Amino acid sequence: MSIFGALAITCVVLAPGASPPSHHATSSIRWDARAVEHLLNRAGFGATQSEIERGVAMGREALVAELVDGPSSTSWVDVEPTLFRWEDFGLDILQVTLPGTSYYGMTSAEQVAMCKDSRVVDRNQFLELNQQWFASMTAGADPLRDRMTLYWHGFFTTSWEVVKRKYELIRQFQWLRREAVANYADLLHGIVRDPAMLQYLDQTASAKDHPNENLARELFELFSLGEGNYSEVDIREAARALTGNRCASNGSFEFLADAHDDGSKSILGRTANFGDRELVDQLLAQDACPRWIARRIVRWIEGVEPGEERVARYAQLLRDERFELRPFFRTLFQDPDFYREDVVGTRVLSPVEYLAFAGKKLGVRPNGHFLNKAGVVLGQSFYAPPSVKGWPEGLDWVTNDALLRRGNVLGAMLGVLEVGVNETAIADDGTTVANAPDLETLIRTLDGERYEPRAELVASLKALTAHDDRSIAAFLLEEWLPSAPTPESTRLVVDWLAKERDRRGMSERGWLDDAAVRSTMLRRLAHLVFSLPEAHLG
Amino acid sequence: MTDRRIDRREVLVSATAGLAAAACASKAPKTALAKPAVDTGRALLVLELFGGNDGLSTLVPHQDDAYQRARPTLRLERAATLELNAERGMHPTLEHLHRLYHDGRVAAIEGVGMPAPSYSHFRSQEIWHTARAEGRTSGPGWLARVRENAWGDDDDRMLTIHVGGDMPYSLWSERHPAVSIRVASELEWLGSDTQRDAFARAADGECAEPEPTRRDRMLAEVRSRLRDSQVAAARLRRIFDDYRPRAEYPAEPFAAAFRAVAAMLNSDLRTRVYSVVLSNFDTHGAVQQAKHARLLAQLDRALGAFFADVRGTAADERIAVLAWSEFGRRVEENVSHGTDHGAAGPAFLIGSRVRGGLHGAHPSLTALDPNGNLVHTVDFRRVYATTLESWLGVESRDVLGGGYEPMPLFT
Repeated sequence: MSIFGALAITCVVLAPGASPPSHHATSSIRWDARAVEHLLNRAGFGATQSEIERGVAMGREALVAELVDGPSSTSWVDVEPTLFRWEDFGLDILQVTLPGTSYYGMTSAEQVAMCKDSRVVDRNQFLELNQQWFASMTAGADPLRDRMTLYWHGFFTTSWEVVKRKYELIRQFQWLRREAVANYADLLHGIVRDPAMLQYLDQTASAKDHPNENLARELFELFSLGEGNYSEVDIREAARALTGNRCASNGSFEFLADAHDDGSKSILGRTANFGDRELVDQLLAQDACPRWIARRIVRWIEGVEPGEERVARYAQLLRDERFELRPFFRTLFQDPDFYREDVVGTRVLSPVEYLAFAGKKLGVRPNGHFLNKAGVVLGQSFYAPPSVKGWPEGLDWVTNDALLRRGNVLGAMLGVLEVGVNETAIADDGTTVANAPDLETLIRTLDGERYEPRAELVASLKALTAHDDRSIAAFLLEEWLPSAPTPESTRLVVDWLAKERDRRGMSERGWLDDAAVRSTMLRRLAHLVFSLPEAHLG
Repeated sequence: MTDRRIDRREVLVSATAGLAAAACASKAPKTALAKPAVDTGRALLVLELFGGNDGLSTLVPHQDDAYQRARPTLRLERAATLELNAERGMHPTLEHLHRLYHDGRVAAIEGVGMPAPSYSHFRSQEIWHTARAEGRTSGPGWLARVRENAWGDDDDRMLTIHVGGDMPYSLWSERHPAVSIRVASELEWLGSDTQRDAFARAADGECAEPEPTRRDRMLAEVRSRLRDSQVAAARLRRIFDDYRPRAEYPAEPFAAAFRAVAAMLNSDLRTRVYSVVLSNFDTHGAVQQAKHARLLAQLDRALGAFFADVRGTAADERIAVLAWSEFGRRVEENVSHGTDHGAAGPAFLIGSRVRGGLHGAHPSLTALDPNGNLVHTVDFRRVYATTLESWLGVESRDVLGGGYEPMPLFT
């Protein structure tokens, strides 16, 4: 039986605008299934009903502690990436042919084959990491870490389109994931020495006689202060302070003293012999810095612009805790404002979140090739942000055909779409054969793998006290949607279920007992439910 | 302002309320797409070259000693360029554009920029998108203002269309959001017949009145966008499927966007503004020369196919292309043999009614701003104002938030 029952439950009791300090107001959070669902939506990638039940029983403090502190042991293993030295193949770090050599003009066929093979291996290790991460998101053993890894990945953006070798990207990802809920100051110190970032923002060739400003600019504008809190002079001076930070040919950080400008610099009102450490410390000392970070994180998690009072409060918390992130999240997830009506069920899922939510609720773990291609189709691919500013947020994701596209990708993931040559048609087993070239490559990555409804789901359905279409639809909508279903959607699903049963001559209970029909109908139901408007708001 | 997304979000949230209220008031789809009357009004295709196009490698001042000095490895000699006149050559990859130029169909406007330029891609882009120094805090984009000021009473959703990925802010409007589409092949939600019948109802929904919560408003907005995409997708799919171009387009996504625009121009759509973006012009590094050449070649192939396709049709008389980039690049190349963010650069107008030739004035390569950048000779809003007044026949003062001197860019 659905733990939500038929009642619409809200979890906000504070008047709009009221925002007392959290330690006084925690009693105003109603700890029920909707509250737990909301917390697990935002601190992770959604939850199954049994996880929600568990959270209700645990109580708020215990669940928040579990999310923030993470598990005591982990099955995650950082796989050491393989480093390819493209110069051995006559290519430079950006895979541009070196003078006097040519990738296609290599002398021996073995060399060419070896180079091509290396590129495949290099790409595959990247896809495997993507798959490992997605599996972790959907397994949900350390949900806040995986969610914040997604955040930092979009915050300190780096792209494989620029960093042509995957070694540095994989190392960066593993570092971000290790530090995802640890300390922002450490992250900022680390990012100016991160080999992938140094390449992405053109720091690799910056030298004292000709500093490149790209890293310095984004460091101020995006990574620490936000626009309006620094001058062009600060950026020029900071670029000088960063000279000498390089990515070595072995993919690790190196400091070239010869390339470093060790003269005096004036940055944000202080004149000193700045190096990268002193520069980052100077940024961290600005009032704008914790405000910028607090605002960005709260906005990303809640999906609503935080009020100035809350920004100030969370900025102060970061300052007091020396940028430790765990106290920040512990407070946020027990803040009545986090559970207010404006926040719950109103945040638009990004494509990766949408896939992870669906994967988690359905128990689907697609392979890395599928995830990579799905990311491309939906506009959020691993290490390929649209720009240094990272990913869109909120309704910016809902461009005109985005929702149709999400439905199609999910249909592919569920195995209800197959590639055809001529026109859209329905195969005997209920599979839609589509003529959609863009979906073709996506579907091909699945290599015949196909979703089968989880045994527990089937068992739960059979165990329902009533098996009329309405009861089954209500159960599945609660199971699969990240937020409360609307009456319109419930009616739509009930009607489809009735029509489809009738078409097949099945009774209300009968279709559940026929394994083949059950499999097809549950896949099609899932496809429909995950295409509803509510499926995109969590 | 602090961050463009903050402002954007605030605007969007309030937009959500507005749209939901509209959706509540009327149960009928607000798309109003079923107006088949052919409109022969002029249309503008706005082509954004995002990332900061290197103007000095696009319209090359090869006779300028300062250019030769500033660009020891990137410079293009006269013989390597496509000649415009004794002093100026086009990048060698721009063959079709060069031919169009000599047909008198290209206005190449030099030195286009803004006072107090920003070297941030996003900030500068915002200024171009809004035609205002304050960027997004000033309100909707300039094309959205055109939509509202000039055609505000027209409910046709298809009047402004972006083809490609993320829609530029220039088109974003609270009251009249532009249609944003990607490629034609995916404009359909795929499912069985019964599923599709069901999905057709997915955008239906009652509004909670009189006091909708934020959740109600977000749901209403998602439904509204879903409904729009369902209706628009069906219609556009037919237009793209039925189109038989008169020229061959290269098999690449960017060219496909131009093919889509050509198809729409030759359909019964009444679209007045199209938008297409080509990204990746941010050439800081060692690959600038090759990367920039690849991008310009891609641009040129698409433009070549597009004008070959529409030439000789009614669409040729109806379309003008405005190409711009948020800034040019630093005059002096960097040690990586790339270039850093700069200021002024060239913009282009292309079409049968354009007054061909070089316009504006090339900025001095020696009298630079304190950051080593070109000082603009033409405020970009003069190009906007001219395009609005002389081409689209739209009053420009309110759109641009001030009067800007027109230029002789159209015949």
